[in-house]
Amino acid sequence: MDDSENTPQQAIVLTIRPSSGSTFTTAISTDSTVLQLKEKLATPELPIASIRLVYSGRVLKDDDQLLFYSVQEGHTIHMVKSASNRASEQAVQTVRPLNNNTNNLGGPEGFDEQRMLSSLLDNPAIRDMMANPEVVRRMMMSNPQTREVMENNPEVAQMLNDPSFLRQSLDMARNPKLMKQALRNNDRALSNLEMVPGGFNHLRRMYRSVQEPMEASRSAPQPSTDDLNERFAAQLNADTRPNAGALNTTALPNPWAPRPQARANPMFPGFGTPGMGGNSGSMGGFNPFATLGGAPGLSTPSGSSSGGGAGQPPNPFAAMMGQRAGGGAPNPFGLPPLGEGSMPPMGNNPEMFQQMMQFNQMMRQMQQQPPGQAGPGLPPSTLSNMFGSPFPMDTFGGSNTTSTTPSTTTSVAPAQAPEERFETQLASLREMGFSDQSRNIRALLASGGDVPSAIEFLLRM
Amino acid sequence: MAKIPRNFKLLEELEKGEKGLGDGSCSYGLADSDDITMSNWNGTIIGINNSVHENRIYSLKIHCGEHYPDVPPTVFFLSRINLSCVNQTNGHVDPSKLSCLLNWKRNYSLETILMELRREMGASHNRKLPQPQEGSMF
Repeated sequence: MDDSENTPQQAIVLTIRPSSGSTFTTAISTDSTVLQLKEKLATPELPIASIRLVYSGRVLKDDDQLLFYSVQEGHTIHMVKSASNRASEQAVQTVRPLNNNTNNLGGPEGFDEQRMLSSLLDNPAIRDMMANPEVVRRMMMSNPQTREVMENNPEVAQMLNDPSFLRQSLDMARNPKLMKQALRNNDRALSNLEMVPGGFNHLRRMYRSVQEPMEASRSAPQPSTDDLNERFAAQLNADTRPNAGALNTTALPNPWAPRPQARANPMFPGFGTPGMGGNSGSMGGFNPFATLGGAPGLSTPSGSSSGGGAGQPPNPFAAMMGQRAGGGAPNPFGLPPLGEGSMPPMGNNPEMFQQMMQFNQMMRQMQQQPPGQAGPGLPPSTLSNMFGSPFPMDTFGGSNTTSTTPSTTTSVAPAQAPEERFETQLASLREMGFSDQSRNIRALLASGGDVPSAIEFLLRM
Repeated sequence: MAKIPRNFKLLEELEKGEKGLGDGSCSYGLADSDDITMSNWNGTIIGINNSVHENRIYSLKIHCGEHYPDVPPTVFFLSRINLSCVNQTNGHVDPSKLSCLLNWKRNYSLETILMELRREMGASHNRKLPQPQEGSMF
């Protein structure tokens, strides 16, 4: 067993056994370090950092020489790749820059502190104690600083009085992974909130009533930054601070509510257009169709012909409404007048979407009914009324530059007569034996120029 | 059948461990290669795939007493692990909760124990247990 120490320069052949894949051998001198061995084994897919070597029940350390472990000719070293390690390292790296300003996870010292905290909290005695929220609360209350903050800020007080919150935060403090996860979630939630119109104001309010008092209690207030913050807030048109001493019960702003023109956000060109939707409409402030119209008077620089809908998240109703508007001229659908308020008020809940989908189906069914059956065509305004919009039908058309005739959201230019527009389609329909020109046109209008759908439509008529 | 003396058996196991003759998921060797009594051993278990233990390496220390292999060795986890048979304060593997230690047979080896512990990690009652961060030690 001492051979290797007597002949340190000796090159030996080792068997490497990866955790997955087949074994192979490699020759290396016994006085090389583990790191050198790893360099030999590293491949583009398996960088040195993720290689771990195990021999004789020990994980080999990079700086040690192989002879330290008395590795000998023909012995096997197990190679394990540490994907999990790398992932957590990356997670740390992504979390770190985001939290530089919160000063508890900032630098390496922060991590030491965290490790210390988690090992402290892992102590069974401490764990037992911490399992009792009452004890934790009393501990917190014994700190005069904390008490002061709680008295001045009811929101904080409520938070600290909530046993489940306390337990959760303790769990988090104990498990660094959970903590990182929570911080990441937090960051994501914040950025999501920020995307909602008005969300920034709400965030600001939250910051004012929860985070600021906490941080202020840790350090003396800095008037200069406070001033700066105030000025910045004023520029951002943010709300003033809520009444101190009162709970903030204000709901988050409705992201779909109409916004004042001056504040119209270029990120939401279709949302909240004046006159569309809004609280006066039957949609109760939520108008998914608002995305369809590049509504007139919208102050945002949205595209002209395809309207505000172009840059929007996919809207399941956009296609449907395109069809509807396309068939709007002769109006073959004969929509029954749906009174205002016949639609339930909608929030942004999934149920509402289900209802919308049902509504969508209903519309499709109606589309397939012959026009004579449901009475004469309704004026377009009925349709738009139904959606709570005082604007005439052409708001759905997506074009505020062209004529008064309802236009389609398809790419076809709406100015042409349908005969010209669908010339080729009409020809092919004629070839197939559909001789009635006006019916063909109607079918093509209804199908948006799609011949197979038009045929289906004709056959059902 | 002749009883294999302690040292013969341990030497055999040592060679097996160093050459890695097992299935590659466990590794073991003497903690101190100069220890002629061959009492203290190191072991590692490479976590089974498709579980929280995947790509983790667990270190153990195993002590083979004077009466090994008539009596089972004592096994301690060095790496922190959450298993029902492992004492959570010192990492000791409870012999009454691991069947190969409870029903120890002379022909069992250190590898038998490590393999069984590895199986335990994938057992249904352990599979879902939350595991401490890798690298933490008892």
